[in-house]
Amino acid sequence: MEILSLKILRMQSLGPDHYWMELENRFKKAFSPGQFLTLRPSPHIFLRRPFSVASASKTSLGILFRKVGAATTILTEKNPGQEISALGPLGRGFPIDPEIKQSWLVAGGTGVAPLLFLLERLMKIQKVSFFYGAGCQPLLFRDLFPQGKYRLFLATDDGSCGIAGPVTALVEKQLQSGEKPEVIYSSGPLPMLQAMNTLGLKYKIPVYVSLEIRMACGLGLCLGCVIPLHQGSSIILKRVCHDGPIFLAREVLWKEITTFTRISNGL
Amino acid sequence: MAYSRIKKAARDKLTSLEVKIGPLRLSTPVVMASGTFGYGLEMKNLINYRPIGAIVTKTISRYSWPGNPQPRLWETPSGLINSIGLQNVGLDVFLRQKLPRLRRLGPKIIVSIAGFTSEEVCCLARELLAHRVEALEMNISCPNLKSKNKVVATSPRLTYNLVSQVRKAFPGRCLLVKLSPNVTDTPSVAKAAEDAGADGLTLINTVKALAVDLHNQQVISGGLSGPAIKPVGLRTVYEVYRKVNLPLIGLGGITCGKDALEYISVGASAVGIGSGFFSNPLLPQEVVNALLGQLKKTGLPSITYLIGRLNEKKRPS
Repeated sequence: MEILSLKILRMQSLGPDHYWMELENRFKKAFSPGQFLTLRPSPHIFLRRPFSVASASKTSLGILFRKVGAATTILTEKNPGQEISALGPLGRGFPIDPEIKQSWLVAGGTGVAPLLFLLERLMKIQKVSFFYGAGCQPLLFRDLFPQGKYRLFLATDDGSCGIAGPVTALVEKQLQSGEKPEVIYSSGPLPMLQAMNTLGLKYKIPVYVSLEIRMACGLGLCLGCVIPLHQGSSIILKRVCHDGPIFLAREVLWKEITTFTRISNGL
Repeated sequence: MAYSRIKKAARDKLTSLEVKIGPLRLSTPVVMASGTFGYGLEMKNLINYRPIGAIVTKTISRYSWPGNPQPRLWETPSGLINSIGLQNVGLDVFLRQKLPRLRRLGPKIIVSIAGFTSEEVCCLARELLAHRVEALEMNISCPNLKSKNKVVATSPRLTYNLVSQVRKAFPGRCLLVKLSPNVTDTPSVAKAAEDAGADGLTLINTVKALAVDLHNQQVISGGLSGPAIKPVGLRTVYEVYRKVNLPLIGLGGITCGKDALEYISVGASAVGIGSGFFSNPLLPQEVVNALLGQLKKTGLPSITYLIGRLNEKKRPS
């Protein structure tokens, strides 16, 4: 991991409150899908902010973010050419098993970010289906999807694109039809991840989820982002920033984290 | 006064940024504060440890503690409220897995300790002495422990009793006591710690605070750190420096070299970096650069000459 001042290469509005930012990539270590970096939008905001990496090449890093508070608002006001303090790569990415032939990616809303990066990686080596749900058609960022061979299933809450309803219903329909992947990767709002866990248990498919939580350091130092996990018959504590943010869904104690992830927006 | 200080620095043969906290000699006055630097090992791949004079470990208890449930964090406009609750691996794992690796890093190691009873704290002190630990910091001021017991650092009497017991259990080595700003009169607690035989004081722990989350209809109570509490920390160091003769580690809201110089000028012999490290991991180096710059500017040979320069009034030497 490194701390660098990186030049902003591109800043683009994607629709209501959503933005795409590209930074120059000068990190010596390559990011893997699921890993994140922290940015410091302004010296007047005390803590750094974590962002999943949505695409990574040798020269650039893509970040998809939603404007939710003071820090992300400042971020939206940045222009290409300006520099920003970036720290990464942080966390552990999605586990990728080379033996696996077929995986499903299930994304909800802005949670699509790390899965876009994963898709780019997996579609070259596996049969991939991508399930993507959002509030409405303008929030389905189709332009961000890479060219390549994979199936795309879409759902919107208002039915303006794809099926009307939650993306998890789309996943379940496909499972009911008899199709079954070897692994599911999922990222999105907490209720969606919980629903994916339920489906994973029901159909006996391992589900990996990317969790979002408030962080202070992002480095594994402060223990502010600790969550409880089942491990065998005992419960252990893990840091989302350092041991995650990717976890096996069936190991997460969902009830215990429900109360806090709802407050992961704010300043 | 200033003259006696110069004589002392010359006697201790302290050069440049070296400072002494009781029997502990630090290569720089930069101390990584407890709870904000993990067990000290996590940052090996990110930063250079050379600017760091000492690392205070995460507070260790006799047996591992799970800490508090979520939510544990809440950012304020210029600070951070935390309620971690001293989650830690416990003494045995610390001795086996953390301490040997910590010792290889370079900076001096100060082990932060806490317990629910005086026996527990004394037992920790004895065990750590047996493992040749050079320095302890008694955390008697954490605002986040959900215990029926009173926070020790809110009472001069409780502080005196506990510190004198631990002093006996940890003879001849550096014993620091971390004090709370959440009292009417920190200097009287500081005096009690001094009378009980402490070698130095760490000022301040976090300030009790509360955040209201209207969106989720809940409150988050914890300890506030960050730039918001720097004036509280400065004031506490300023007052305690006038009351006791112990070296002080000043901290609370240090986010740049200038902040560190402010603490030193009102009486801190060393400065702690806490949550400021989260936003800027290069801060230890920046503080050292600022201190070296100040020495160059003033032509002074040692940072010790700057200690308490703006607070020289009454202190007997």
